[in-house]
Amino acid sequence: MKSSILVVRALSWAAVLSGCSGSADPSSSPSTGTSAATDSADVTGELTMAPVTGGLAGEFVLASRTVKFKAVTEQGATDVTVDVDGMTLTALIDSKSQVGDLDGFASANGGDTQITDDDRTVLTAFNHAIAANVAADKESQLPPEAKLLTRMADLWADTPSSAPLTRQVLGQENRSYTSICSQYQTWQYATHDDWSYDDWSANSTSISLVGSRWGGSTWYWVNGSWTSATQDHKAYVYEAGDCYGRCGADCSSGDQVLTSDCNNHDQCVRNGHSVASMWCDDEFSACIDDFTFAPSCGGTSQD
Amino acid sequence: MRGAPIVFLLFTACSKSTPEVTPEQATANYFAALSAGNCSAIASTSGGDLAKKISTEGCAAAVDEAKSHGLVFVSATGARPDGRDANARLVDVAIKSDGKDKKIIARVTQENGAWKVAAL
Repeated sequence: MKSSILVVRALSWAAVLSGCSGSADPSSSPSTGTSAATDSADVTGELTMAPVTGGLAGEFVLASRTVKFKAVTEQGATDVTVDVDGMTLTALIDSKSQVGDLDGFASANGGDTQITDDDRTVLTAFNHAIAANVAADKESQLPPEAKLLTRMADLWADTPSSAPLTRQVLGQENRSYTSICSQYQTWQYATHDDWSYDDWSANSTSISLVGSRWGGSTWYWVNGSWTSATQDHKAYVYEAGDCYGRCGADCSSGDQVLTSDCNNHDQCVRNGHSVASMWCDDEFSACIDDFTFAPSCGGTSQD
Repeated sequence: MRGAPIVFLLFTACSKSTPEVTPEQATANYFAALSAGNCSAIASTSGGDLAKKISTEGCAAAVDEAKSHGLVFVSATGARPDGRDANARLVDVAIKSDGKDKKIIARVTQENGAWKVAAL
């Protein structure tokens, strides 16, 4: 109760401060040309896939790199496998029970490995390609496994190097994850904790425009105008763009999975913490079940 | 004995390819440098992507990040090869940050004969 009272008071002050900060309305997106911004949902690389018994399989080629993938359902659980750069990433997901097992290892010898920045580049492109195909599938010709494959590709593309690849995932709506579909295109608080600032402290809290795309870049409302310069632990900054609050590093095609945990994770990684990803590992860990089980929000595929 | 100096030289020449500091100790050295705000030591104990980020953002930013999270290094153990890269080791790191006990995996790679923390 105490924390909700503090949040209400903070909202009042934030409203006053934003009213005093300048004549432009923070809910208006920045005009083009203010800063170079590319659409992070751009798809590159070549994707081929075909149905197989129980699901689908295929490959994605980006320059000289190939991702091979398969997603097959047997006895109620979907087995997703992605092979990239000598690494095998697996997910065995029971969507009905909301239980899953994730793993990742070196393909050649089963040894431990990590997802590196280099891996994330190709995984992000792969995710964009799969998502674009799923979004374009208006007549549901793709098997349902394609949507889970997109979620897992999104998760792995956003996994920091410091996080383990082996873990169990348990989901329970409104306990382990909270969907914020109803808050799409509204301003909501997002926060992270650190030593200097607890959760919901001014300097670890921003006000994000949930699900906003805005050309695929994050924007910060500073001194009465929008800037793409990252704000590092500034109090109650209005922030928007790049699908803020979406479970995923950036925007991709189609409807978004929007949750409180993913909103908080975005707030952490987009406000400082640029040298080491480990500072936002807690927030990332809280998102894993959201990535896997939280519902997709209809009508959020474009601003 | 005439052969002894030659044997000694051969031995030292062969053993130079093995870093003197283990991956675990290299990781501990990095965290010690970070906690002390010693930018020279941070530079010498970091490599790969981590060194690039520190170079881009500035050593002060890395030190401030650590301070803002109340970083306390506890231990670095369990170095094991990355199954995809014989030049890299994964090291289990226990830290206290944000008032909590945390475990992360550090990536350590060999550069110019020394282990350096390459990603956190």
